[in-house]
Amino acid sequence: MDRNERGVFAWLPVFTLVILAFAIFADLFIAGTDRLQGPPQRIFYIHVPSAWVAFFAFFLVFIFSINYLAKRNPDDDIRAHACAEAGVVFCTLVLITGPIWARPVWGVWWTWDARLTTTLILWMIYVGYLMLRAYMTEPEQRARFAAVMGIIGFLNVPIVHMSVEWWRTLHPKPVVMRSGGLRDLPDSMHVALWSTLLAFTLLFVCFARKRVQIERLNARVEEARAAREEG
Amino acid sequence: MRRFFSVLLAVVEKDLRLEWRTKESLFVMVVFALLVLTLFSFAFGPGGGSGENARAVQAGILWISFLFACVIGLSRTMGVERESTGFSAMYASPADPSALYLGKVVSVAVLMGIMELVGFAVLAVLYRADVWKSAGALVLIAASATLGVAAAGTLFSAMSARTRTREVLLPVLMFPVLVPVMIAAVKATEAHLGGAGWADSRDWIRLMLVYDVVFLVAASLVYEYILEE
Repeated sequence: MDRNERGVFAWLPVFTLVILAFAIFADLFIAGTDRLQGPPQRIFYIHVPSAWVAFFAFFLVFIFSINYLAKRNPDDDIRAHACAEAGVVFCTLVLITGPIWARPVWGVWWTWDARLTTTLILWMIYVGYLMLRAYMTEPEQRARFAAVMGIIGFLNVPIVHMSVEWWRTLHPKPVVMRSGGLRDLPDSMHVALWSTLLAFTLLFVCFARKRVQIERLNARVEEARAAREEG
Repeated sequence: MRRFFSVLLAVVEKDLRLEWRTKESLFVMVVFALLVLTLFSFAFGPGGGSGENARAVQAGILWISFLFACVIGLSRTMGVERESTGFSAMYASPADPSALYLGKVVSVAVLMGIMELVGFAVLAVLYRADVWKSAGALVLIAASATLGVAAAGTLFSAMSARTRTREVLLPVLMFPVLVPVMIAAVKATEAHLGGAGWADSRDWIRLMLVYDVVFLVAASLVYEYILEE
């Protein structure tokens, strides 16, 4: 089944590594140093793609969860699980790189800005999702509960964002300076940003695919064990 | 439609009668809320500290204590279902799962409402908050927040009650999802306790109502997957 992968996917990890190596090189050497922020700005190339991948992953969890409840294909449950796990990894990266950058640039590790707070809550929701999975034993029930959590958690994100935004704007605190839009970036920074985005997306696909393979093997081991106990 | 409501009312009646006979949840919820309200006074100073910030602190204390107390009530009401194989019965019954869910939400909300009445009274006494002046607004705020908490709480406690860790998981699942309700309830309560009134609270109440509708609809649709065996 999964042992002998053919076609493009067999080469995906190698390809990902090459792109990733280029991206790191681009982040460190090709992109010019930001005049205002200095070297700390380079963390932007890790931070933004991680955030993008995390949101994308949680969106996939939502889609696979709906699919699972509609069709009851155990593979959809495994895919949702894999995406949630990889998503939490990238979301954790966002929450770690953010403060590392914020400390030298804003002077504080954390500020209760709407985007930061929403990301933190998002992270908590999906950690809860993984915990729910971890504390359940019956696979079919676990799949259903997790799917419900994956759907409700995702639907909730816009409301969380809206409420946090209002919470911060009704009583304004010092406004956080953000660098100008993407259009203001010089070409060298575009190369760094987009190559890292591509590399992280591929990395996410690799992680998720590997995780799906492992889970399928686990399911087979479980089946074999159950069969032996019966026979 | 009539059948839907008769199922809903039957669940509410069953839950409230059970509570009336055993008095297991409400009593603990009220005492627990009281305890938390008192403890916060030690943490922030008598009356939630002094100065302008006191009203904000009081509103925060009030809703945190309600939320914590609600976790206790929820674990109890779903624990009963688990112990008495209520989930299997609900799954086996031909009743609409949404009606079963909404019935549970209503009964949880009623218990919370009673607890909140006591909570507001205690706030008025211990924290010298002028609750009467804006009683109407506070009732509206409490009702919209309670509905949201009960909606999320019922769904997640039906899940967590059947995990290996039981009730422990409930707050972990429920609190992040309830962030919008918490923010809105605290902000709206603060507006009325501090005298700013409707101008500041209107949008927050709207937000809670939107949340309630979205959550109740979404959760009613998925509740049947929770009941399945």
